[in-house]
Amino acid sequence: MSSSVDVILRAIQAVLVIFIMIALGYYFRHKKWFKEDGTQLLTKICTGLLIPSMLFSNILSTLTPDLVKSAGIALLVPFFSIIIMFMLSSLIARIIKIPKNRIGVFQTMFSTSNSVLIGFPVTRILFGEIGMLPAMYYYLCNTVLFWTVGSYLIQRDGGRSGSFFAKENMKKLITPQLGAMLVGMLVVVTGLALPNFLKTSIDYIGNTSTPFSLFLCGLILYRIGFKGIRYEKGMGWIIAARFIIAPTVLLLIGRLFQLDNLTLQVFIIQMSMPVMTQTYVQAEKCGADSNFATVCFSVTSIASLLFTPLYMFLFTFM
Amino acid sequence: MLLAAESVLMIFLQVLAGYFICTRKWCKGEHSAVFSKISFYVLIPCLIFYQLVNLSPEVLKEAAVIIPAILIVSLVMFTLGYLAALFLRLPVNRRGVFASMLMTSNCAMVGIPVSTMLLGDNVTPYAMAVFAVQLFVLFTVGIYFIQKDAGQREKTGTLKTIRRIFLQPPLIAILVTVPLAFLKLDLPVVITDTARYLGNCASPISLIVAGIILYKMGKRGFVYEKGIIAVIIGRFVIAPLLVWGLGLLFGLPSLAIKVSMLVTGMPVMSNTLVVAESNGADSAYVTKAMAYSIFAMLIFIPVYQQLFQWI
Repeated sequence: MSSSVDVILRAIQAVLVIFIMIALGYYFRHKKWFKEDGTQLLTKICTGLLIPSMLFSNILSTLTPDLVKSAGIALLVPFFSIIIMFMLSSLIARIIKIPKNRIGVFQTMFSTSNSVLIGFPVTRILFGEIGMLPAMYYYLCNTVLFWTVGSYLIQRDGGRSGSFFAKENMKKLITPQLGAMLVGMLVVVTGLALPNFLKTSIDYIGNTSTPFSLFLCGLILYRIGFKGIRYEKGMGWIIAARFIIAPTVLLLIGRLFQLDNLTLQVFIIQMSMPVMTQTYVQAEKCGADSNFATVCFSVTSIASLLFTPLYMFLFTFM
Repeated sequence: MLLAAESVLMIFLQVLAGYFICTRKWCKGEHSAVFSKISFYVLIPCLIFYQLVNLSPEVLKEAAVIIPAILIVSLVMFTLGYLAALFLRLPVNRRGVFASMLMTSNCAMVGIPVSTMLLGDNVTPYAMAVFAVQLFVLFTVGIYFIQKDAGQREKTGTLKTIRRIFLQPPLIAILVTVPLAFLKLDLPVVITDTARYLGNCASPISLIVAGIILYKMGKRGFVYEKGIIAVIIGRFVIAPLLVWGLGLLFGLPSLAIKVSMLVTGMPVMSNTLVVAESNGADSAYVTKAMAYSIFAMLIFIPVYQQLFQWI
């Protein structure tokens, strides 16, 4: 029993580390070190340089050619889980009669999670470098489904009928993150030996990604603020989806495919992250209910800090 | 030679990363101030904390024997630097940064890795002791004069001055951490982990700031300025020689002398840049001198290696 107490204490501390860094980001914005343009600035630096460096150096240190071959099954599990979540969300939206201009936003928040800005740092802090590979598999499925199914549904909210594979959204799929992962895999598969100075420099820069992504979350939370939070129709379902339904669906599918425990645990943590920040960016652009998306972002961010230690505790029984 | 080249390339690549985010227009010149503030108030204190807190009291005591020598050398270098600044008729707003650059070297990013690679892992406590002393003098003497450069020193009362000197986050970190290390407390993971994650960012962010400033300066960035050659001679020749002389005089162990020489004979400390930038002193001058001194290291590391075979 003492071991599970240890686990939960460790998990609470890990979550506190995350909380402190988010709070620091919030504080930097509050003290006006970062101005209005701070969110944009950090988003570009994090997604363009810091996170890709982290992914690249992680792949180089953890991926082996054998693991590349077994990636197939590991990719199927989150893919199917997210698809199932989309189907469930469509059903529930109809049952509880979500207003028309927020059905797509609701479904997307119900089904996809913030795997990069919060998911990557959380995984790295909870599981260490070894957890990053499954996190990347999850990220791939999550991002592909967001920019196809999710964006299509959000566009429909705004009264536009796009297609699943709108050109504009396909471009969004080609990110520096994806590039870094592909180049990293290429280096591993070809067995290329990178010079030490290059690898170490990328390691150093990649190490900054964890705190700076979380600073960025703090900045985003500052912009959204906590004053406007009030209960909106469907919010309870979003919370239930993110923190109870999604992990359960994933657990079932993962067991079906006989995934190993570490991969499964990382997937569950990734799946139970807050809603994606891009949801409200996309909603705003398409004239959907972006306010609903921002409120859900704040609420689920806070809730995830409470749920994560709980999962880590439950994992001790797996 | 290979080692020196590798360290130089590593620094160069990270500076380039800062330059790169500017060329992509993700970041503007004015943003160097944000990153240096975060570094000064959060990242560097965390770095100091987690590097020092796990050292055992025995190691700290053993390493402490070199502290007096390094302290004297630093203060002598600063005095020489200030006199040289007057002699070279440097502009008033550069005297403090000039003398500070002569006083402290880049321990965290270059000094500690290079000394462990050249002399082995057991030299880290010595290198840390040098680092601690240099941070101490930078955040007391150095910062006093750097703020004076920026014209922040008009209304000085003794009490205010003391407060200003001691209320520097990095210095507070040293003063808090050393007693903690002696007490050998079992600190909660949340504190050590937060410090480790944030502290790991200190060096890369300092170099990224250098890249942003280089971009801001444009072509002027590499134009030679008066005093830079003096910085290089001071850093790579005079400082190590002083350490050697004083080390022999104090009868320090040979290994301690070698580490101290190596660590003090390194490029300009990148924290100097952060201090200059966040206090509004002439950070462009520091960036230039830093860039030149980084290239100078390429020549001097092989020289040190040769020299160590004779000592």
